[in-house]
Amino acid sequence: MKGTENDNALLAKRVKARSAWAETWDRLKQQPVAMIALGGIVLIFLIAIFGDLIANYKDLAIAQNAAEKLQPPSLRHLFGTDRFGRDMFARIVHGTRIAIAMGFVSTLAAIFVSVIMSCLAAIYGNRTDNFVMRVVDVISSIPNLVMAIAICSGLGQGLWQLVVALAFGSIPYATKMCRSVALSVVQNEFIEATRALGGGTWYTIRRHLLPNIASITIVTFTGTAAFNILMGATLSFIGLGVKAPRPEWGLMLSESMSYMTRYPYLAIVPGLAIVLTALCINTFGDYLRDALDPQLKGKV
Amino acid sequence: MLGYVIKRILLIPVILLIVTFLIYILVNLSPVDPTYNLLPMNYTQEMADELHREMGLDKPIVVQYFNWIRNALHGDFGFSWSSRIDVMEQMRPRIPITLKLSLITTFVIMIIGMPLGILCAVKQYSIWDNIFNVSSKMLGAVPQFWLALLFMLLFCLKLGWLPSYGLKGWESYIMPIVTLALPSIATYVRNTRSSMLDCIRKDYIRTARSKGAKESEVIFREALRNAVLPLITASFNQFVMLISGAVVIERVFAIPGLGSMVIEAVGQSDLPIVLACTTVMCVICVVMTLIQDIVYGLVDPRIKATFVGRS
Repeated sequence: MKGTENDNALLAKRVKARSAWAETWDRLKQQPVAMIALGGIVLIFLIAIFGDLIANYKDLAIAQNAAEKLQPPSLRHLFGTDRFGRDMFARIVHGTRIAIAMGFVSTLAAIFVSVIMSCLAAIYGNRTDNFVMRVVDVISSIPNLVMAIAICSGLGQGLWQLVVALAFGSIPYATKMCRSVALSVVQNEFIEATRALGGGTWYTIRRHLLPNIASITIVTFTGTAAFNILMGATLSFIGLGVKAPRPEWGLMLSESMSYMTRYPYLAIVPGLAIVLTALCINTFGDYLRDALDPQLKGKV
Repeated sequence: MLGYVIKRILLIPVILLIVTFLIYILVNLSPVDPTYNLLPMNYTQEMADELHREMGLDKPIVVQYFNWIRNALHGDFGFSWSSRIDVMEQMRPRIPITLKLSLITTFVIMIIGMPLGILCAVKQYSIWDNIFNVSSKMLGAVPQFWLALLFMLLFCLKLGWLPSYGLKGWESYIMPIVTLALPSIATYVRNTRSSMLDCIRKDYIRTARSKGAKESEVIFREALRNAVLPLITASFNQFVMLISGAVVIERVFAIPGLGSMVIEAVGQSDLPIVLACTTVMCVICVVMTLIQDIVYGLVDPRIKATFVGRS
């Protein structure tokens, strides 16, 4: 009997030592779909990082080659070539970098601003909170796309302008999400206790507020990242985002619009790239939300 | 209640003032100078300065903004920098097209989405429920314009059933409306489903059932009535989102609405048109949000009560 008691004690110790993140990971590991989606995201990042090893950017993705224009998919050109004779496979590969810039960089910037605003709103309360909410209200009364049109027409068209437009557009939603959780966290007794014990504002935010809003922030991040990839592709498609000859997926679709009757692969391949990327991020985000906080299920 | 409505209406000009100011500043960050397009090729600096003075471009931006908004209130958005045609003249026939597109689509979404959502809620975890759940997740990852492209490729170009561009009759509206509605139907079904499920789990539903009411009566009379409230909000939100969705779809199907106009204008750096179109879209959206708030207050006695109590 002594053995089991020892085992139990050991078990209790081990269970106790596990962090919330490790538990989340454990829950996530049991979901095969989540793991496939995560694999997809990792693959996209790997392709973006090692893109130059897979296909040369200048020679294959940018340089025009009239001799090989509009070739259907073959072993030499996996996804065929477009009307300028550029290899579609190479363009898709290098498009991942732009997709990541649109999806992740812009969302990172937006989340950064939102978290700061929500923390300030939660800690200082009343008037600061009111001010933050009014700003959010005004920005969110402008439709997302209209805001992007205004920014792109003011700053000109290009990748960084697009990232700015996307980041600006996602601030209201992200702030609403983070703020509501931050407000409820601040009402807990441990925040009061920290303050009573002399914890400063920065200490309270860093030690208590940020860890408690981390899960909602991550969930908002994945959702917004997928949305921004779609939005960025849309803006590039209508000619407000990334400029030719950059291999942006939405732009590739818009370039191939007039050729798609005879060469349907031109219209299908870049679209599939967008859908698969967004689907991986969305699916992983859904499972991550359930794993992080079962109470959030169905709410975000 | 009246106080609440008046308060909401009075807030509109303030919001619009801030919103238009923000947009004006953003759009005017553009370094484009109208003189390039408006003056003859061999213009002199004096001519350029004269034109700037004439158009009020030499004044500080805030003054320019107030001049612009004063004219805009009288329906004068200036003239196009590229074609010299009055902006309002160009815009007037296009506004109803965009509105019509979004309005019809909103109704289509409601008519199709609501019964499906009820079906999913009543038969929770059934095969239908799962199909809609998965397909709405899938549709959430598909960019609308790509859906439009694929549909156009299939139905317009390969099969030749429907016209692929322009507005030539009622057939031309089918493809844009279908592509606009499809992703939104998915979210609308999800909204209806969760709203119905919330209601079905309530105590009064159990009471109605235990009294021996028929299942159809329970669902349609007791549950649906209460579940409909959040759906009203959802449909107004839907409309606002469709206005921006229409911009993209108009571009794909070459429909002469507000969206295709503003995109063209951004390409040509025609700032007066960009400003006018974005302003009109913002006005539509802000007014829609106002109506939504008022309707919501009127329909829901609980909300009505809180506002009556407060004001």
